[in-house]
Amino acid sequence: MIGKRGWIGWLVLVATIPLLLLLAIVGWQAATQRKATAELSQLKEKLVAANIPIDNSTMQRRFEERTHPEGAKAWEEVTMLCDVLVRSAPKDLPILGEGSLPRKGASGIEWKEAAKVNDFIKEFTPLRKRIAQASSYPKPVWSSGIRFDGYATLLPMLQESRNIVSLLQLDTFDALYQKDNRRALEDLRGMRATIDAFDWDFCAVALMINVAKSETLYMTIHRSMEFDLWNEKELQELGEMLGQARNSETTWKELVLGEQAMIQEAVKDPGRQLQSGLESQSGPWVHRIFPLKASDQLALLKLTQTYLSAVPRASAAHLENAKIMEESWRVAASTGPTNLRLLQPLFMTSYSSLASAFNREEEQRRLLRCALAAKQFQLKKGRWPVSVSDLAEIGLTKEDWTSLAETPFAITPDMDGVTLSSPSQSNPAVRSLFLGYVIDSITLR
Amino acid sequence: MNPSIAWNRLCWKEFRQTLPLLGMLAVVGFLLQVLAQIASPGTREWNQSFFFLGVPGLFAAGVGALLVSQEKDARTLQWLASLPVSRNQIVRAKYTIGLIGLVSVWMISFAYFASMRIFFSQGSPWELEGFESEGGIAYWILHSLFVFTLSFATAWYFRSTLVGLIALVGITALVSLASPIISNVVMNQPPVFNLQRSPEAAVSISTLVGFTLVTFLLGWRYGIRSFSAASIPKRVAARSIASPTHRKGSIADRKRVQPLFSALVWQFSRQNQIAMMAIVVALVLATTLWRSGVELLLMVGAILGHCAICGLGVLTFQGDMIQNRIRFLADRGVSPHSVWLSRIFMPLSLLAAVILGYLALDWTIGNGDPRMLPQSFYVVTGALLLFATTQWFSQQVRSPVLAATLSPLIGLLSLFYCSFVHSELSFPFYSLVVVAVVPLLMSYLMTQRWMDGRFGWRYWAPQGLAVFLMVVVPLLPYFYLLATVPVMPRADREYLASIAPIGRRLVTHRISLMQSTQQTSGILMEGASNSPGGPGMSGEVEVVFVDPEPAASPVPGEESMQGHAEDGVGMEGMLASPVPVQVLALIKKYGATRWEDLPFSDQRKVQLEWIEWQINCIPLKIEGTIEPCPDVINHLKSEIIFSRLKLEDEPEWKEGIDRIGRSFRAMLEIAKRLRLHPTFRAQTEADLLDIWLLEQMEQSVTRKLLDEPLADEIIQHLNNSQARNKGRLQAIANQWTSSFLEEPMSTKSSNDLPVSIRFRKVSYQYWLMKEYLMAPNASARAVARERLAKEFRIHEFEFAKSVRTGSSFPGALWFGEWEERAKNLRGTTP
Repeated sequence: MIGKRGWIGWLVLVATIPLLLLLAIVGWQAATQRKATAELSQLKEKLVAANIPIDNSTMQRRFEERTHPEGAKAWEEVTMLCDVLVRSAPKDLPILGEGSLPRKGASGIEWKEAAKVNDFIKEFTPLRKRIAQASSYPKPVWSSGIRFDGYATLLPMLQESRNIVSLLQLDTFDALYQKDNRRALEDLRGMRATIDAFDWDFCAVALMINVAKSETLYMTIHRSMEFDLWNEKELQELGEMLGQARNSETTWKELVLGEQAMIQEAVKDPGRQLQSGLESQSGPWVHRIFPLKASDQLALLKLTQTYLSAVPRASAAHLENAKIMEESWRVAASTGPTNLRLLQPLFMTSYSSLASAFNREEEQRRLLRCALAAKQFQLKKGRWPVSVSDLAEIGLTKEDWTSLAETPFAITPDMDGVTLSSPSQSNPAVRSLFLGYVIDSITLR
Repeated sequence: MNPSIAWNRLCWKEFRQTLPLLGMLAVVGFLLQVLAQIASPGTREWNQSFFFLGVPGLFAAGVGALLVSQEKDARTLQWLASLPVSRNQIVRAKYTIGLIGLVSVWMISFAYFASMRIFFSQGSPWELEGFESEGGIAYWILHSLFVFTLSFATAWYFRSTLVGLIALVGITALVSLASPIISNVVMNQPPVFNLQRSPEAAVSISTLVGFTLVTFLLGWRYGIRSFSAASIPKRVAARSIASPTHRKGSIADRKRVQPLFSALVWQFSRQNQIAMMAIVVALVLATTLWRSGVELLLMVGAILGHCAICGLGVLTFQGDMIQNRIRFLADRGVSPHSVWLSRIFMPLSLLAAVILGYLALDWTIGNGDPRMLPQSFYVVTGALLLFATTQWFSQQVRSPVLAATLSPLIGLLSLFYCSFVHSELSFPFYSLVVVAVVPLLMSYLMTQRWMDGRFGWRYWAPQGLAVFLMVVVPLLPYFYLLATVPVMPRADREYLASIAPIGRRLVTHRISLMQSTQQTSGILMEGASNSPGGPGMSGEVEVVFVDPEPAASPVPGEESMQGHAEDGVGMEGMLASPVPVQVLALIKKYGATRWEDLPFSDQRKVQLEWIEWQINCIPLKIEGTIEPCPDVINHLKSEIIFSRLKLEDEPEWKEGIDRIGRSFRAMLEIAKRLRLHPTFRAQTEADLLDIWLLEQMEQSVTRKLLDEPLADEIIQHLNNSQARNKGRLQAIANQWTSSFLEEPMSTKSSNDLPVSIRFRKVSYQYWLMKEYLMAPNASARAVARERLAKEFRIHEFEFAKSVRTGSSFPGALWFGEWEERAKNLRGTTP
């Protein structure tokens, strides 16, 4: 048998020590969280003072400050009108439906849908004036009707802006078919203006849509050269319309800033954001049971801040840097607290796809720029350039005729014209820089 | 003795023995079925069928042990054998009374189930949700019969009651799994471990009949043999020869005096050795089956795990109740603290080990996915709660058989209650620890009385208090919320209820554009073209019943529809003949037979005429309103803008002026009708339309293009703030009352609140809207608006995004500066 003291000694060992340990852990956690809360609010205040968005309201304010209200209103009206036209358009039209684009045949340009397109486009004609008017406002614009709501923000206007580009593209082909250079050029200007007006760089989806619109413009300019209607001056304007290379640093920085605001918003109410972002319904449950602690929130904010300095500065580094950033976030999130892992799929998604799209966009821009310059060269000199360095006479620099793979484009004679080709045509390693279809050669006659 | 008297007395004795089990199962079964109904009112859930089927099964499992094992423990079986009744008669009496008891439990359980179904209008009691195996109820009746014969067989065979019960659970689980395997062999099919697609009825039933017969025969044989003189089992005899004084490896082998706690733990372990080993095996098996991902195995795993944890709870104190062993410790003055700790130590350690193993398995299978966490968390909490409740229960019941049979139900009841208060009443999950701590604390506090066998009012009163605490404490947060959540004042509630269109039927019309992608109706194409494709049908009429109870008297809408029909454009016509004829006429008017053949410019003209026809024909002839129609509104806007732009180039284009006027007229009619639609969405659409009309009227270019009477009418409409606010108030009243008819889809954390609290909160927010709308002055309105913008958290949030007001609440456009601008329009000339 054992005495009372022995029994109490056992109780102390089994119950009191763990209890004290538990109390110490709770106390230490409380102190840590208290300190982290203070630091987090200080950091947030500092960021807000520096106009860095950290939630819905600061993000909304940031966009509204940068938007011309009248311009936004004008574009909203244009978007609505184009949407009405596209919705009611006959389904056998090219671009808007299943019809085909004009193609070069034995007897010149052939287009069986020409009459139908012309009939439809007559109704669109008055709208071109409105687009030109809206283009005069500062860009980009942010619709006042959209409420910023983290990852759940609806962006219908962004999707609808593709209708403007589609209608202008159709009008361009109609104008080219009617040999109306002036109207075609005006339409292309409208396309450029639309791309710039909706250049919303706060999230990867918006940027992807923007790249798609740019590629539509490039494709239209490319196809327009088949009509052989452009004069030297117009070609010059088309070249300028292609614009400069995307400012990588600014674009990526704005993207990370936008996503930082969204992830911070998601942390505030993870259940709701996760419901729209993840297929699994158990995510919100985890957050209800184990909410993200102040120290974790602070660590997350500091982490996203570090990505601002890691953004790629050169076009060629898009893909590599994006992959590094994605991997870095994946590792940080998966080694962080459990509930941070749930947020992993929300942040920095599709960065490498986006980087690849940027590369594709830039490669096509450069190739097209060279093609326009080559045609200008031919009109000016009466002969085709022998090598890409001849394009210096048109005002191009070495960067313009060099592929993202640091190899110059090649010019080869092709019957009565020339073919301009990118190294990606023959080199799979270069092609891996761009996912998806890319124009890798342009034949000029 | 007269054989019939002996038989009657024997049966009476057996009947008295089954009564406690019968009574307690009737009470607990009723409670569980009622809770299942409360947890999911108005629905038919699997758990309702589960309790209906489960309770007879539990009786079947317990009755053998109750009638046989209990007599073995009390050593009354040999006494029975000494009476002038045959062994066959004794065994027969036990089987007969047990069977009558089983039939009674089935009848009681079915009576509960059927009355719940009838009371809650849930249809036929013969439909078993989640248990629609091909044998139906018959299969489960047969299954209970099998468990019944098995429980007798195990009770006759095993010396220990608890071991017998554990063996029963294991064999039943094995037989459940045997059906698919036998099906495989018999029918040459792969085994289907699925509840909905269990093996063919014939195979299932044949298997069960076979097992029932075998267990019955075995049970009978063991029963008869039990009355023979008992011989010492060989292993016991061998052990006695090897070590005559004590068992080898006993704690008594050690030379020094052992600490009390160690001795007590050793004693507990030795006396429950077999039972604990069986429970550990069952828990490991349950964990494996639970993670198998196969429906039937998962179900078997869950039941097995549940029974095993309950068994662990029962073992905590019931091991000492057998043959009143606890008296040995009580008589020697062993401290109740030591007894309690030593009894709880081993079961809790085993449970902790199994839980850790389960978590490790979960983590490995889930590949560390944190989304697996909630499930693991709930399983672990449930297991601890189950153990805490059943160990407490086992201390209060003096019969091990009753404790073992009823503990699964008691455990289920506690789990069910906790899950109910957590999910339905939003009791914080962490606070459920109270429910687990109370039974542990009670069993600790009552150990002394339990040891002494003092079960007077001083024992039962604290137990009653504990039950009260367990039931009431989880309800406190709910009642606190109920008392503190802001509510709509009664006067306002009555006012809104009085103006809500409840009790009236509201006729709404949907106007739409013709869509070339829609399929054309046969009537339209008759005589026009046989090819598919063409303009779509439009002008459908929707009748919205605001009140779920249709009005008894003829409603204005119906009368109007009849009048409409007499005009040749009746209700039927709108859905079939006249509308397509109208469309056809419009297409023909422009020289085509198919929509696709029309030039695009003419298609737009037809669209305008079609909209006008819908507006002029339907809403003006039938009292009613229209559904929000952004597509139509945008089309009319485009008509106006395109025509105006074209007129800038061709000022003499008379058709353009005409189209602008007609479009404005159509928009004005839509704006007026939208105001009558008592929903926030329609009101917001109407606000946006009014703002657009206002902006147009402010442009002198547009004003000049309009007829003076039409312009005046539009200005008058824009200035009619009384009609506007009436529409808004109707919308508040209607949406508020509707929110009680259909559960609001909350988007914020209010979703976690109990329904009654949510309704109060929702009502409060509608009240804020009403206060905002009816504020006496601008400053009061500004305050109300600020509160509204901050606090409005109900489903209209989503629509607000879709109609692009840029705000989170439906009243964002109310009393905007545009309403002031509209007032200034009056008297201005272009």
